[in-house]
Amino acid sequence: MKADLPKPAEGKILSEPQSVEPSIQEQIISEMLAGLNEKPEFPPDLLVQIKKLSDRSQLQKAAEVTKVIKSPAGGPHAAA
Amino acid sequence: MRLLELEIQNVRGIRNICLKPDGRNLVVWGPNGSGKSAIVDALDFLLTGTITRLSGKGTGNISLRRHGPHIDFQPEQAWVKAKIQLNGIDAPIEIVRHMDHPTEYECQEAYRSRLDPIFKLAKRGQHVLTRREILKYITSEGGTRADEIQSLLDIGEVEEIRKNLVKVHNDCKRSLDNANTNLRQAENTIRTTAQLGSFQENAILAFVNQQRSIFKQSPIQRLHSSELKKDLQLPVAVQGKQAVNTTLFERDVNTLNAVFSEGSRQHLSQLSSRLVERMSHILRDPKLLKDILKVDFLTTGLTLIPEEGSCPFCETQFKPGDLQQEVQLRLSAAETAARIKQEVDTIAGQISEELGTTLSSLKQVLAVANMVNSEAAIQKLKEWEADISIAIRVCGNPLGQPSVIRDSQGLIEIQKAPQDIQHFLNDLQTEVKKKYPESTPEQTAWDLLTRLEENLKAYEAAKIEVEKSDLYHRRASILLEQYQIARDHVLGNLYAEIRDRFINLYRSLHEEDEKKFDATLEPDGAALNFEVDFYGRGKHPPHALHSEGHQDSMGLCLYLALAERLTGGILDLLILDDVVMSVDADHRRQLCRLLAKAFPHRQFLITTHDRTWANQLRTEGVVRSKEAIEFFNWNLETGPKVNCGKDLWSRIDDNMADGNIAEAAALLRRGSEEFFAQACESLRAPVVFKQSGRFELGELLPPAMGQLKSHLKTAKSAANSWNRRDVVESLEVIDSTISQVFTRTNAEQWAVNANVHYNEWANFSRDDFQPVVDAFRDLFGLFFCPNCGGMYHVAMEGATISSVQCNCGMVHWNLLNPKTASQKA
Repeated sequence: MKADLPKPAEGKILSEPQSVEPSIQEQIISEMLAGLNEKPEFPPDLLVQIKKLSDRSQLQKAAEVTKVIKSPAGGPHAAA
Repeated sequence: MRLLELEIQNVRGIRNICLKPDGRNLVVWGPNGSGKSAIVDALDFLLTGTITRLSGKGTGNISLRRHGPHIDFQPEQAWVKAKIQLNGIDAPIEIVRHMDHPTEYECQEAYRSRLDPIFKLAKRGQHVLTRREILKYITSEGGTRADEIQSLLDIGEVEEIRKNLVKVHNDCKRSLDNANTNLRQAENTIRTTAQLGSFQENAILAFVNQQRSIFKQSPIQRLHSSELKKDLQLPVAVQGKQAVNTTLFERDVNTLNAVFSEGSRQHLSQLSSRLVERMSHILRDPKLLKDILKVDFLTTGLTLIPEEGSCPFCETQFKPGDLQQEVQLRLSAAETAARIKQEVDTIAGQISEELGTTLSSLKQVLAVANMVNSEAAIQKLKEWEADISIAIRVCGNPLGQPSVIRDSQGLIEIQKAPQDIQHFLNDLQTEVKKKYPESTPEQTAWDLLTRLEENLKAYEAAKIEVEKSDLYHRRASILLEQYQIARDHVLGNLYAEIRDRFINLYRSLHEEDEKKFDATLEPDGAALNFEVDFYGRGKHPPHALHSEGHQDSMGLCLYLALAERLTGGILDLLILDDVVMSVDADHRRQLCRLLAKAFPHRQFLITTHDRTWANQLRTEGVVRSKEAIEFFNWNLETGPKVNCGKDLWSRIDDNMADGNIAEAAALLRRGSEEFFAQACESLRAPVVFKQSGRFELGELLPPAMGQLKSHLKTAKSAANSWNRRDVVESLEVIDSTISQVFTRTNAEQWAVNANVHYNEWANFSRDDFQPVVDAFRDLFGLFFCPNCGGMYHVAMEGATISSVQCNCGMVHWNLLNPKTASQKA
């Protein structure tokens, strides 16, 4: 009398590979970079360097972050 | 992604096992040490190439290569293989991962681009929940809980990065402070050279132009080291020979001699006496000294308290903000000490400035003494220089060495200089006058500008350093600020999204007593503010008032809400590894219904050591009997024995086929007792209470059947009262079926004569016993929904049973007539 459980519903047909939503950490970095982009202290080349730090998991390393912060990046507020 | 088949070879206590959940939920149950967790480990390895339990904190000497394979086996002999199904792809996909090259997996190349994102997601570990983790979410303090939740979210590095950015910010602040100190020192030197009371660029520029006017040169407009001597020619008198500027030398000697003047001595003496008096006062009162030192300690500590609130020294956890508040209170309490400390620092600073001016002239005079080779003067001046340097150092941190100041009878002793110093200065003056002609105004102007040029170079360098340090400090501040803003925004959104789902899931589990359950779930700096309503009496931390079982429920619901949000659509498989230890039987049943109803598109792999929970999962339709796998009798050679894919009826049938009627009868008896106990509970059947809690079939079957029939009768009556003839007719069909089956099992007799029946069963022939088996099989079926396979259960409206229903909603017997329904409404 006991019936088989229904099989799980099939998902929609996908022609492209599913992309994974960025991780929480990636979302935070992305929003942070967007915020920094508005600040004159952070010219584009500095943002690129910070993004690279993030990609290489080096935002946890003080020496690496300090190196980027002290880099003579361009822009009106750049260090001499 | 759903799991169709899983084959494990020589991994973590398993020799070889092949499980075939076929995309459905799976429960693996058995006693502790039977190898259940190895299934979780194997899946972990397949999806991520690592085994989480073998890595991380406290696993120093454990490695995947050495401890991943089953004991005595090599990595190349250990592998995990699976057939999985992906959304949109009909054909099963086979994937294999070997322990000798764990970072790679094998599959058909065409599917790799579809599998990579899944494995990437799996590496975040959000699809596995263990009981240890549940407790961490609930019982921890705000700051720690955030760590635990962040661990689940795989965002442990969020806080690591924030801490690092705080450190970078503090370093930059310190560098800026140092740069400012250097700048002030450079300003002070310029002020001394120009003999001005304070540092003002306009006054210094005027001083420079005054010197330039001696050369009849136009004034400069900008104070810069490169312009001081612009268009000036080196005076003829000093060309080609290093000369002593007698005028400046005299000025420096006069500055030193002025130290011995009554006015200067009196001024310094007053400062010194005040400092000694303050220091003696402090030294007489040990508590005051302690308080003063505490002020320093607390002030430093205040800047080091991390955002999540833990103590920076011993790492004791405080609620965010609490420790800051406490430290501020203590600083206020030490107000007197702080005031005295401020006084001491101010007096010491004034003395230090006076000594700095003396030292500056002393160095110039010492340079001249070196030029004229006056050995005696050099020695005395060096002694004085050393003493003043020490005094300046002491004044930089007077509370560091309080007794030095008190015992020296004040810095006036130091300022007095070595004995006969004035005599040596007079001799030096005579010597200089003898050797060097009197300086011309041009020479003096030139030398002053030269001295000022050097001073300005140091000042300009210090200024550039301040500007750079200020930029770095601003960058570090902005970076930290933007990071925290982004973190709060992202986590705030996430928590807001899962909050409602969490509340609804928890309400479903505890609908009888916490229908109005509410919760706060929001980021609070680095911490997570998580508070839950306690029966309408306000919100409290989840472990403050709720029972352990309720806490487990909360942890589970929080996990399910988070995991659903984070893995949805890609990784449908969720693993619950022994997570219901403290949840009571009633709420476990609710949990079964929750898993079945609220997560129809998820595949759960559940491990448990609890046979009852495993049975509930079956009877509530969360898993089929085929997917309820029992592990038992593990040993080193074979791994666990597996009772795989056979439900009660299959095992009875096997015994019947083998002619083993006694064993079949025993199975039927034990299975029936277990089944009808659950049926009684699900339908709220009245069973005569027994303190032992051990019930025979005869004590369970009649109440269960009676209650089923009673609910059916009430449902028919309710349908009639609502004029639902169609419902009445369908219920009558069910009633008829129930009566037929009921008669066949002779169920009524069980209450009277249970022992006779059991004894009879054991002596039956196969032909005699087969009808009993068939009748009971049909009897069991009366309690299950033919669509979802879940056992019927009652729904409550307060203390009233309002309906009988199944998990999928196909079966719904309303038991309330219009009058009762309106009362309930």
